[in-house]
Amino acid sequence: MSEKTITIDVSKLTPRQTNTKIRYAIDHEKVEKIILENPNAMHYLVNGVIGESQVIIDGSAGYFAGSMVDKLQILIKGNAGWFVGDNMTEGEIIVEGSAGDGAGQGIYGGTVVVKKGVGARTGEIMKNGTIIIGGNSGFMTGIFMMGGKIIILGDVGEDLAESIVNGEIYVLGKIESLGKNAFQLKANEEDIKELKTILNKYDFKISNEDYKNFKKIIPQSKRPFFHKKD
Amino acid sequence: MCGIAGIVYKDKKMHNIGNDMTNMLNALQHRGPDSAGFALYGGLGLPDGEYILNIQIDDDNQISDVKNIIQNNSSIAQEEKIPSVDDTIIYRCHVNLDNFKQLKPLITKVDQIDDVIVLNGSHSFEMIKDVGSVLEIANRYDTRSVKGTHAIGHTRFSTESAIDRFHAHPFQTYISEDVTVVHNGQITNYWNIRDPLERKGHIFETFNDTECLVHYIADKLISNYTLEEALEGAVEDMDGPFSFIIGTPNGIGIAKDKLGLRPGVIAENDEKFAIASEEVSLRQVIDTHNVEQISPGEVRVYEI
Amino acid sequence: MPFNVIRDPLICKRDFERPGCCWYLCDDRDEDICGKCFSCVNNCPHGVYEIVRGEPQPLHQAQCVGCRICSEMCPHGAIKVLAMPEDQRLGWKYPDILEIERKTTAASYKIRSTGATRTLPTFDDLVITPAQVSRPPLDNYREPCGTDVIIGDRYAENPLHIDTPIMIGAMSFGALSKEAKMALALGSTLAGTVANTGEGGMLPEERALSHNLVAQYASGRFGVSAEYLNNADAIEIKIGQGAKSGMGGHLLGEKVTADVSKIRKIPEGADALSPARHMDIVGPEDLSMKISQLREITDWQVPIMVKFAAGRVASDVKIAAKGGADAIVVDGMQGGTGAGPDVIMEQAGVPTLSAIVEADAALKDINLRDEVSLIVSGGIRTGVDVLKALALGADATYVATGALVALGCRVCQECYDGTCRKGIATQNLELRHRLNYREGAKHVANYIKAMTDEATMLAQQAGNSHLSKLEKENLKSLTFEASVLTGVPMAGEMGLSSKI
Repeated sequence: MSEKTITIDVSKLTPRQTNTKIRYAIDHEKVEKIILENPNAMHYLVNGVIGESQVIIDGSAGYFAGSMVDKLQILIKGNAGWFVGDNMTEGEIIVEGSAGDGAGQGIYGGTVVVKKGVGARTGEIMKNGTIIIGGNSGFMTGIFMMGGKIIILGDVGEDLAESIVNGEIYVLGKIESLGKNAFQLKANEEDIKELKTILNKYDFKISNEDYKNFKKIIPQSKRPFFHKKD
Repeated sequence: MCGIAGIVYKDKKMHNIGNDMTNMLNALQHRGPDSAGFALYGGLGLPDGEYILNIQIDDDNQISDVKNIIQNNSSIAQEEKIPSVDDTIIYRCHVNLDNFKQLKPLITKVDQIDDVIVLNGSHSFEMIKDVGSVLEIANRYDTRSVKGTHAIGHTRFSTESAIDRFHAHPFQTYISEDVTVVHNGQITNYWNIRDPLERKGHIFETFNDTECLVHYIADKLISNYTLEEALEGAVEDMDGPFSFIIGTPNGIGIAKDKLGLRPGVIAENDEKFAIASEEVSLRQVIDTHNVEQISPGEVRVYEI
Repeated sequence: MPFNVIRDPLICKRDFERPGCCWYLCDDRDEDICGKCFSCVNNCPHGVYEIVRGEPQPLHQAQCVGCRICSEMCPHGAIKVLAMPEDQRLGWKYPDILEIERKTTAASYKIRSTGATRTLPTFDDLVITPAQVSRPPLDNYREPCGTDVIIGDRYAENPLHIDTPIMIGAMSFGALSKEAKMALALGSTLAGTVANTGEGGMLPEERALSHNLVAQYASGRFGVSAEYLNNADAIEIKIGQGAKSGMGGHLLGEKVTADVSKIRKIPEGADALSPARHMDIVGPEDLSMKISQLREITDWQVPIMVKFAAGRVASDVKIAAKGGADAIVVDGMQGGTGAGPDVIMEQAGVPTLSAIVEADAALKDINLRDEVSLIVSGGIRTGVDVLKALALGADATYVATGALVALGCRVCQECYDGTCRKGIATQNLELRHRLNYREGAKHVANYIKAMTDEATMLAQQAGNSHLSKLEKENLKSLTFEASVLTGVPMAGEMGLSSKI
């Protein structure tokens, strides 16, 4: 079965023109695969697009790449700027390079995968979904996390899972320090089984020995700031 | 406020840094529409004691007043008039002084003429700053032809102070020779930093927090701190969100606040070292296959 | 405790011989005990009453805030709440002493609802200058006065067209009950104005009932998706609110019921935290990029508004305008909230009165006054307040607490508790039944219509034929403070036009 593919050269377009073209291709032409050439780290690429197509960004994307997408499959061949996948609801974003701060900020579902490292505050205010970081993740990873899963294969910075109320974070590398309401456990067999399924799907090669080193961070309480009536 | 960028060529030789910086800043235009500025180091090659002055003059007739004052103190080696927006002229001239200490008093004297503002005086770098877009400014001052070893630059989105040439970045200081800064963010304990520096005799000309930064760094540098130590001190003492790049005759350095609220990315290869607010700016001058995020509270210096 | 609560035991015991006299307010519907309804005990939000020997007694009067819900709900009319002069001993008022006592046990700051309660400069300090013969007044009964306004026609392809400059402010589902949200939504449609989702996501019922709905985009990003934004008629980026300027939200787990968790897309029963600031808006260029991002998501169709707590008004307004906002909301320190620290409500922010003037001047300063709509809020109660706000430079106003009062709120300042006796700020099913959303909607719409009429009447007194035509020159200050804050000359001083 031949899939319908189009290529858009972004170099001369504004983000608005690009997004309009993508929406038109998906809504009216039923295109299954869209390749964006020369993205040149443009901001707001593929924003608010809904549909089951695949979008390949052939280079680096700027801020807010793939923000508020639904069901889309996005592959970014270069790096991503700050807030990749901001608020997405379903689908998948894969970044082959690194990403800036706030990767997977506020996502409600779907998966954000960054093959290399990311900046600070990964997965802040996320409500559900999965974020996988191949490299290191900075300061306050998982701050205000309200659900979902973050998996980090490298090290994490200070105040991991600050003010987390729900969800879980798995870290393979070193943890600088934990934030308020974060609680550290060792990943159990069930967790490891689940991690293996997820990580194998995205071609992360980890030895069985290493899997045992995964640390699991969960909230101490779902009501960390319970304010008793005076 | 703003987008910031910096680049250093590691071989200390002349390169097209004016062109590089213009491209880097143009890519950051969306972060700051109000004004833009460049500090382009290493290409002037002025003999000892020679300085460039950039003076903003609103009325053509005032040029003679300016010249009179300068000629009372020094000879004018070379001069140029650059028209800018709103009938303002930038009068640029070269002066000869016995030493750096005479520069600030001369500038103060010229500043006393009504409607005349000295934008800067420098020895080892060329300061270009003006209101408008990066490309307009680049055309007005032909920044693309400037050569040198390293540079810093800025696009400004004004927050709490005025939009004019004088408040455009880079800011510089006359405490220490040829130290400049470009800054993205706010210093929220401005007066706490400014007050002790003023008591030491530093003269503040604006209420802009960036000016305070450059005085702070220069004060550390003349107290024999290294640039790296000075930046670490700034991260400790300054409050608020910021990332800023310092330019000195020897190189550049960047510092970022402890909460990491302002962006900064670095890319480096054998030839050059580049810093910018966003990757899109780095891409103009360097391969961005490996981009490093600057961590909260981190300080990086590259000196040649 | 400047209130004296009096319960008349004789009237209280009156037997009406009608079972269920207080049926819908009574939490204990046993007909055997009817007549000893204890409505006052059950409904007082502040624990003023205690049952002593089988009878309710207002023992803890120090806790009374004067909401008068007990007297309103007493089926016998046996209760009176009287305001008393404040007790001052060299500044050491009795409430101050009580507050210290509270701190000694609670060891934390005080949380409450609504906004500032202290005395602040208000619109009452200004008057409209009536036209006489130097300019003629217009006939309120026979000559028309326009009230319509367009919000956000700068870049948005579909700006908001509304019939009155009185819009309903942001209050979230979660803080408010579903019935209250529906009443406000329907009320906004009946009055030809705009409802606002608040930060708690969009209820399908709310969407269906409101003709124009603003979707708020706040730091917690509850229930936010492309669908949410594209379902709205405008988007409001909430940077801060007047009541608690730089504070995040904090919805207690008790209020995160199944319904709320579904709409907000967060786990049931867990505290819902919203950060003090947007994690991705910490500087001016960030705001400008956020506006661009939301425009991309909504394909430039709907207006993007930015809401600030009034603080550094001029700087903030300039940044939002330069960043590309279609409309800017400035919320003065009188603005309300469901929950927040008392000290922030009373001590942070600037009054609405001065915020309007500063925002208007800031927009003029950068030559964007005609392009950017200015909406002000915070303590707007009457049509007169609205008109004065418009004269000072606003294009429209928000009412929020006022709209809740129209639904029955008595400003008892306990919204955060989740046990609102009026069924407004609660998720408790029994309490929610006390609010009929259709009735409520009518009341809200009537309130807005009446306010609009008040405004037009005064506008015509000043000699203007459209609310938007009012200017500062139509006002005079009665107090020195108001004059300094707004630049409106004192009554008795000659205005600009007479000086020329």
